[in-house]
Amino acid sequence: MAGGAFIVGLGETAHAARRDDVNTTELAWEAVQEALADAGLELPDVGGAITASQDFWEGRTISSMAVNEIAGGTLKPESKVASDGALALMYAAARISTGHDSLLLVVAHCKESQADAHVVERAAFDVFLQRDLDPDETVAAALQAKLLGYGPELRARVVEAARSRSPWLEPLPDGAFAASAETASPLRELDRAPRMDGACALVLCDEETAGRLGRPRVRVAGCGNAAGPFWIDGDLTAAPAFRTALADALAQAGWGAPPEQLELSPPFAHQVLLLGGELGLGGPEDVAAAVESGRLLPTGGALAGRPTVVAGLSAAIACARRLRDEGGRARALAHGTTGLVGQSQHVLCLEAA
Amino acid sequence: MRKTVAAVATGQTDHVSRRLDVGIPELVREAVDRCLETRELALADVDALVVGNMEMFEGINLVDHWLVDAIGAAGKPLWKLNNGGTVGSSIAICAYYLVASGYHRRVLAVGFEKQSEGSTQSAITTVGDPVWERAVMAGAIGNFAAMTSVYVDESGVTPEQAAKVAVKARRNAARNPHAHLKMPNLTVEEVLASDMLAYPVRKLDFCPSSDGACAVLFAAEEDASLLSPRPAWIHAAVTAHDQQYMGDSPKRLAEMRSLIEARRRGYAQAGIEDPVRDFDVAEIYEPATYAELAMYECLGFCEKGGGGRFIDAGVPEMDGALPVNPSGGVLSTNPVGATALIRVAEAAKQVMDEAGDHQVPNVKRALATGYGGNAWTDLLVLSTEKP
Repeated sequence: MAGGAFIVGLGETAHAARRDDVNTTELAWEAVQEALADAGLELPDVGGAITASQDFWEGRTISSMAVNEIAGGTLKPESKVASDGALALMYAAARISTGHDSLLLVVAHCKESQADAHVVERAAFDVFLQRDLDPDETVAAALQAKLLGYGPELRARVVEAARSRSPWLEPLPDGAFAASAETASPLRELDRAPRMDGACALVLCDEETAGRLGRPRVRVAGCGNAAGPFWIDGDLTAAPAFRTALADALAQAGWGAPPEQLELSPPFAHQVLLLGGELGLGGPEDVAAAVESGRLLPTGGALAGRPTVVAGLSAAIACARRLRDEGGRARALAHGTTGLVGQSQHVLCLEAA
Repeated sequence: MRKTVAAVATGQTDHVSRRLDVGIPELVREAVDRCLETRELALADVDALVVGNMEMFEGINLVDHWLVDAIGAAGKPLWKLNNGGTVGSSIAICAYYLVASGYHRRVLAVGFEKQSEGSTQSAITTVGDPVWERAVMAGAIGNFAAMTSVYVDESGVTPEQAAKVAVKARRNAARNPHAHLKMPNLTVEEVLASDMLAYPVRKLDFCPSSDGACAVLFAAEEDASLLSPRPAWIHAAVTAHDQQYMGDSPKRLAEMRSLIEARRRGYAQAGIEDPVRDFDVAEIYEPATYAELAMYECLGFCEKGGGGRFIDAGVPEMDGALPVNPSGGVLSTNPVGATALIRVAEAAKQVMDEAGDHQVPNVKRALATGYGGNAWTDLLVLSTEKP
């Protein structure tokens, strides 16, 4: 990798099930304003933006049109990654490291409340052979969960622990998971991340700019991104894309093993158990215990109320906040995912700097 | 340290209005195979992929993930960008950055659109703000007609001058085996007699709707010279966007500020002082004849208001001082997700001396642009010389 990229400003909305008080632009602007203030900057200081949004969720082709201006993109470079926000952060880090860009905003937004989730998710299935079955992501995830065979008690432990640390949602009352409605056997409603509205923004810059700004900073030490087979074409009980992305990110960071803090963002509880195993945390019981202890999903991951598309960038922001508090050379791993049953996996190694 | 990057291989389908013989995965794979075969490479030789497509046009969400088998992306980094008309050049620029940063050594940019399987104009209508603009939007043509009216009023260009652009494009396309609209004998009179779409834009003033795909392989310095006998080195890769509301961009086409800003930065990066002198060829994203005339001005090829006189003088013709769109341009071929990447591919082919019957002699430096969104611009400069 060429030069380094440093996170110097963080902004995030209070994610909620419905934000009827704001439109998409206003929602993202909340996060952008907070990130700029955190970095001690004004919008004209921004050199460009990498945004993350998905047109199907927004019901708008070129959905970054809604945020280009408030992300500082007017007459400047703005590029929209049609994936999870973690990938937008990686693209921004790549651009910064070339020296062509010195300060970029990374913005991710989604108002899940404004979309028909079933229609959006169904449109990602094979056009010829699968769409007529009227599937959605929960149906695909249920097939995966059935194959993995993790029982409801284990999944409940993951969900309850994640929700107990949510910055945005109330903890679940006792017995809530078991009482939640079955969606697609064996999954229950609380197995999946709740539908949320929210946005995140992050200021990323080169080392010289970070030094000049004098703000607490976090270095993007490593990036890993990998796609797996189309969902039905692969082994749903394995996570080869996550394994590859993790290995690439760790290698780029020069880290021998995953760090102590692991903010994963899979949208289903059984996927947390699967990926936790890939991180070397042990069997499903051990992974559930890691979630309960707060090592895994320290702020609850996607299950704690991170909107789709936004989740990976939100995870990076949560890690960066904690690393700034801890200082030294503290490390964390942030993660995002795109596609049906985690087809693409995005892993970021972050380090206090 | 930043890596030096070159485009080393390109591949395109033969673009037509309807490819009924293939599905989207087969169409895309055709371009990928054609690209890799030029250098006797296989999918395994590609380290990462950047896909561009307007997914609402065909109605396939996360289409890049559906296509992993077709493009050989399983197990590799897969990126998807989606920026409207600029998407093809945006994925080229993303591929450039992924190589320049050292993240990957060989990155394949793949753009495509199969417009015959979707409803492009319906999707384009959703570009507008849902509250303030969408109710009065009706696809791309009306929007262009409004912009063109302002440009005609400002510059005084004539329908005859615009028609010359249409004739040039379709005549050039006749020598490009991949081009969609090949009309070697088209006349100015025929353009002027074609149906009026929305005043002052006539049918032959406007780009077609195509099915097609394009792939371009970008490589770092250590691979580029091994992979291509004459790499097209990237000297500039810049983007400039304008505001989201149509009414917030004064004059739009007549004074396309994103193109002017991209020109300023791109030319500075590449050391371009006099574009007509310093470029040997240009592949610009001209969705309509009048747009090409306006772009001559915004790119500094001629003085403001001089676009009409520029084509009257024959400067952008194949035998002129600066041939513009020897491939036939967007006016001849328009699979939207690939269109701007085709500009980059055609510029690279000219630099690599691989453009066949539409090759401009002795090309050393080429310009490629992308246009889309609300008057957004990407601009790349490619050269035979290493930066």
